Amino acid sequence: MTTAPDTVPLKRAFWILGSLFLVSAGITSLYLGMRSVMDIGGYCAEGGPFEIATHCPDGVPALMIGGIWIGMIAAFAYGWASIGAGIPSFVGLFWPALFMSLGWNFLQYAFDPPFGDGIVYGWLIPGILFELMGVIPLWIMFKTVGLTPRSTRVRSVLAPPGAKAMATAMRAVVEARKADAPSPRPDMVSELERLTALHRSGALSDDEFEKAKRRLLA
Amino acid sequence: MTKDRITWIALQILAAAAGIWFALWLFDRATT
Repeated sequence: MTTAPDTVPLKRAFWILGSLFLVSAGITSLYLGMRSVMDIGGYCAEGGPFEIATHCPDGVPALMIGGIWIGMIAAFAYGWASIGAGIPSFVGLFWPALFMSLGWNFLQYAFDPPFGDGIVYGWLIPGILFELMGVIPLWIMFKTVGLTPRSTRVRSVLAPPGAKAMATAMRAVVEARKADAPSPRPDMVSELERLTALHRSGALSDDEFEKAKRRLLA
Repeated sequence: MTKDRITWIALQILAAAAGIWFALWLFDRATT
């Protein structure tokens, strides 16, 4: 389902740009919310029948929860709208953007913690993990589908592991069979012998024998 | 790369940048 980008209807364009705006705002809210929670030590709580040791910064819980939900719903809408329109889609960048930006927070705060000195390993390890979780899919995406996933290419990525190798092997077998098709018939030798015998006996002239032989060997 | 492709990429970068700007503005408003 690939339409030329100049045929994208206005309504669809509105969906694409609007949902991308919301995804971007959602990821940014999470990024900012995470930083403000890390500023007060890395954890906080609100609500419930508990005595809360560390309250969250004002407005942060709503922004983070809103960012997650609105961002996620908008990400699905954007994926549908952009891939369906056949335009370059940023949908594959959402996961890397989320994990690499949050991973960046972990790494920055691990090396420069708001309290105390030295490296905070409890933040360094998730930082490295988050960066890997972001950068590996990003690398795979650019190696495979790029920014414009066409339906066939998407299918080849979604196929079970090994399916591509299997398809390549099967194609090679079919090609090899095609190349082998005009192989010599097993009865050619006996055919030649018969011709030679006929030629010797005089039933075939030299000319006729040569013609028949050439036709047989062709 | 066709003109349409470049236009779409540019429009989407603008939309994403606007989203970041909006979140920064909202965060600033909500937390102060």
